[in-house]
Amino acid sequence: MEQPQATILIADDEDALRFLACETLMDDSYQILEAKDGNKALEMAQSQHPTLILLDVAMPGLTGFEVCQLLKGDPATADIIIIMLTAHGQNSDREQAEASGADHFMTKPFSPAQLLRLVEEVLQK
Amino acid sequence: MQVENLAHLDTQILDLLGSLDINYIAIQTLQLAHAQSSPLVAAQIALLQWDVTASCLCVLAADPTFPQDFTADLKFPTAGPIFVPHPTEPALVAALGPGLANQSLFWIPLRQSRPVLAAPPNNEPFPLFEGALLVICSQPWPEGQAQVVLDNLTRLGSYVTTALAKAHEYQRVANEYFKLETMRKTWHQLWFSVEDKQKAIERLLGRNQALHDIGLAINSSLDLKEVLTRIVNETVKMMAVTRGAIALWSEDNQDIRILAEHSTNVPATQNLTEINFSEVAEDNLAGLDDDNQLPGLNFPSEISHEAVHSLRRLLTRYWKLQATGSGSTLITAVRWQKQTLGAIILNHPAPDRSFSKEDHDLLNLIAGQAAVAIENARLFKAVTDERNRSRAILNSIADGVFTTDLDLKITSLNPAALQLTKYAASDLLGRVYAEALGISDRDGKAIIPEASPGFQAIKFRSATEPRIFQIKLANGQSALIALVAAPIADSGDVISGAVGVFRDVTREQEVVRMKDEFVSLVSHELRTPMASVLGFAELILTRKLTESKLNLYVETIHKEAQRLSNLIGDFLDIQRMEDGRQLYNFIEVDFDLVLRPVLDIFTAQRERIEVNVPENLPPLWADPDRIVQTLTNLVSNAIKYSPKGGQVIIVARLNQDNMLEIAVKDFGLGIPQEAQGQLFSKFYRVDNTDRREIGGTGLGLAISREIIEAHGGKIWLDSELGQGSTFTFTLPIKHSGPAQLPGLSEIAQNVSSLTDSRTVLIVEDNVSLGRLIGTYLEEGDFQYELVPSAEQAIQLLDHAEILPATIVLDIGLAGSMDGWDLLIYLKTNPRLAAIPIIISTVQDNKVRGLSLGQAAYLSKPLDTRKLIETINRVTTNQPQRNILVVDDDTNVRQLLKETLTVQDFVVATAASGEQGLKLAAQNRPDVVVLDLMMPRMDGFQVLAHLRSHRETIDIPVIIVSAKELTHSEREYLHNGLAFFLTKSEYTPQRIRQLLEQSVGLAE
Repeated sequence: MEQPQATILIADDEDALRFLACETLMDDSYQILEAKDGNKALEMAQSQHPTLILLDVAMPGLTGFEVCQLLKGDPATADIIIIMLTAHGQNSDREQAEASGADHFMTKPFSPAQLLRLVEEVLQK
Repeated sequence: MQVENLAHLDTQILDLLGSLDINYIAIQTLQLAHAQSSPLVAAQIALLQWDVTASCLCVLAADPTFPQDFTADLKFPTAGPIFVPHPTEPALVAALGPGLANQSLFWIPLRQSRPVLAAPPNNEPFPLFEGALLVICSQPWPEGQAQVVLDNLTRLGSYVTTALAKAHEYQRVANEYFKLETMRKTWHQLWFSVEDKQKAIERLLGRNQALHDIGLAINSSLDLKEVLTRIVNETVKMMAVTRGAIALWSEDNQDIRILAEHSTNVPATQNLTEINFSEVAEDNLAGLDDDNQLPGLNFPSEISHEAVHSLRRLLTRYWKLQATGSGSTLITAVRWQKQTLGAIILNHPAPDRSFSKEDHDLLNLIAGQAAVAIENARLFKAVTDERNRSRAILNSIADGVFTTDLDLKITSLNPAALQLTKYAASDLLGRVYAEALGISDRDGKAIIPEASPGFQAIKFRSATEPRIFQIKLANGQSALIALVAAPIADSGDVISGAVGVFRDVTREQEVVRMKDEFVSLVSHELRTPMASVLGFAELILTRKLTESKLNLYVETIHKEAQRLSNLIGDFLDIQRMEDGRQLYNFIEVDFDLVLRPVLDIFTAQRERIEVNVPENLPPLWADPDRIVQTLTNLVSNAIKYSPKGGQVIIVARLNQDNMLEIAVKDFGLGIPQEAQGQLFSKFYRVDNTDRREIGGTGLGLAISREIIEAHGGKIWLDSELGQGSTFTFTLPIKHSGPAQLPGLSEIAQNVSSLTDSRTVLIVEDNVSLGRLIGTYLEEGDFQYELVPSAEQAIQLLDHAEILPATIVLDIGLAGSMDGWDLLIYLKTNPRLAAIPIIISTVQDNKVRGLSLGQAAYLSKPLDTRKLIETINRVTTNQPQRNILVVDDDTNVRQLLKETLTVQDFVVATAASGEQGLKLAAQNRPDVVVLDLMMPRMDGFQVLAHLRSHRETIDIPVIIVSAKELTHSEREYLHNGLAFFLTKSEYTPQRIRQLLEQSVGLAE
């Protein structure tokens, strides 16, 4: 059952939300990375190649959609699983998330338990 | 012979003339013609009609044996009726064809060259009825008999012509009426779907009543008179009497009017039609009142006693019918259903001309015919009136209306349609409407023809729902319109095309878009802290946590909840301010008193804050709480945006414009040039990672700007990236003299000096609306200049030698300055401050505008009359000022009334609060002078009511009271924008002074 430890990048400009995501995922001994804006998220994704990214949409610099598009468009990073986090619940956002290549989509406010379930599910595949 | 013939035909002819149904008339005609000819000789009869499009005579109705596809491209060479024993005329022979050519025939041309009942308005061409009655006989006619038949057919022909022309004309007007009615209803639907119902109805009724009245006057019964004259002429001839007349009662039965008269051997009575009952009644002809005085005058029982009385006076006075030697007279009532409309009178000089029962019966029939004519004229007039009314409505409404044929090609447009699209009628007529107007969906994507409302209206035979489309205007710009279409059906329910009604919704859609954006932004701003609060709460509930972790989570929740709460508070603040619902408590206050509470808030950072404020600054005229809020926000920003520490300097000074200028300077991050323009917008934050930790709601600067502008000040910033920022704002200082509302004194100056110019400057970015206002102004004898933006208005004013008499100002302007910005610019510029400003806006920001010194406020859609009235009021030198005095004390009312009336005010009084409110709402006085201590409803309640109702919200109030006020009561009155005068301070001069301040009356 010994699996290689999954690395999760949490990209959100809101301190409190990053903190919440860290706390939610911490107990399961994932390796957590953090990025405060879109540019940093892209840079870390390329250099660290995490297994999964929790990606906020509205960030300074590159938006979450742009980061997602760039990562999915590059064969080197296309396999990174991306869960998009957004405060807007509109359909247009979901469409845009899908268009940018995101694998999953979560709307703020979200339940930590739900997030945890989703991450576990995604990583077991 | 003729009399007998007509008597024989009587019922059918009467029927014929009474009908407005073309087919019915045609079939009856054939029967009647057969009655004349067929008993003697077998005949084939056809009623032909000139077809304008085919340019030939075609069959309107014919015997089944007659060739139904018969056409003749000739007009028969003779003008009158003719009997042709053997047709030899080559054209006729050719037209009749070999089968018919050798037979004898009657040819009765039918020609009606004038409208029967009423001339169409606007000099439109009207269709003439032209045709012929063709009777083809299988046997030759003996010459003598043919002449009798020809005479009778001719007579029949003339009745048929009249009946058909009348029916055609009725059909035409009725169809047009149905079309217009469809247009009006469709327009109604659009209007009601997007407009304030009550206003629309009131405005239309008001405007169209006048047009309607004129229409009524024009469509008097001149043509009815002609019809009746013909009837009288024929009757006199037929009955072999010497004169006859038709008299009608007026609707109120007070007057008798002779509508038609004919005499053979006596000169016609001069101006007989001008006679009315009241005149006749004055002719006191003694001895003629008795019924027995006029043997032979037998009045029918249906005619009322009063009518008999006046009719007899009329006849004795004007026809000189005397007791003896007046011959014989026959009178029959003209009746329609149960109502007696008038009478037909026949007279013959021979006393022994006795009238037989047949005479009576015949005259009864003729009277019936007259009644039908009168009723038809009434019906026709009613339809014409309705048509004119619909037309007037369509010409005057602001929405575009057009009609199309079945191919969706435009057949007509109203003036507003041209105004909205900027095209000339010739650009659009005859073209498919969707192409002509360049219609696409709201995003500019092409639509398929089947999706166009006009197509759907015709296909589904029902009106469409309003939908938004983009159109291309003649000037190349595009506009958004709301468009509905409906099918046009004629009286027979046959669809002949579609009507489209549209209005420009470009501005509304822009507002909707901005609102959506704002809602989306707010939702984002609220959801982010909410996500932390809910998330950590869930972790606390579901996980076992160490105490330190628990504390950390609760702290985070607390912080984020606090942020949420601030956000909601700021959000409500900005909403209230933008809606103009924020009331400001303007008082005289020293800057020190505003600064101290701000410094107290930042005690922890006190050593970083340097204060540089000179002594002896004049006191401010401001709401101290709001200025503390603004200053706190700026200082807090300065500290937050200097993450590495560093000084924050607060500087205050009196500037050249005699305003207090306050600057907050930091040496922090600074703001990039490109971001500076948007910094005061809602939820705008500089897009820089370093700043994200700083927090804040993103509304602080927007709120600060609202506050400072409501004070009549300005706020701006100077900043360089990495060097720090300086935010500066200005505030008015306390003016010398008595307390006053800011801005109101400027209105006073307006009124005095600018009456020589009649030019009005319209600042309106919706150019077509601006032009519309302009045309209203021209009707009101003003000239106008139209500029679409605040910037252009400033440029124009700065270079103008003669200033405009007034400025009509739209608030929601495109460009970087809106109407409020321009208003502030105008009111703070000494050269321009005196120009009266009329705000025209869809927003309801009366209080805000008032505090900024506008002269008047009009809400859109603009009411023309009110606009002109308002402009006249604000530009007139000596306006009439209406004062309402509300006081329960008779002596005080009397005293104020006398004092103020002497000073040229128009004074109304109310003895109670309730009555005062009623009068204030009804009369909208310029000032209300209000007592505080009144039974039932006191002055505070009255003030609260005045301020909470749209009609009275901006009426200045002066409180005159003996009551000693507490501080909170004074503050309450102040918030309600009321002036206060204690009864002990009261002098005639003082009250006048206050009145002048509050209404802006020049000394």
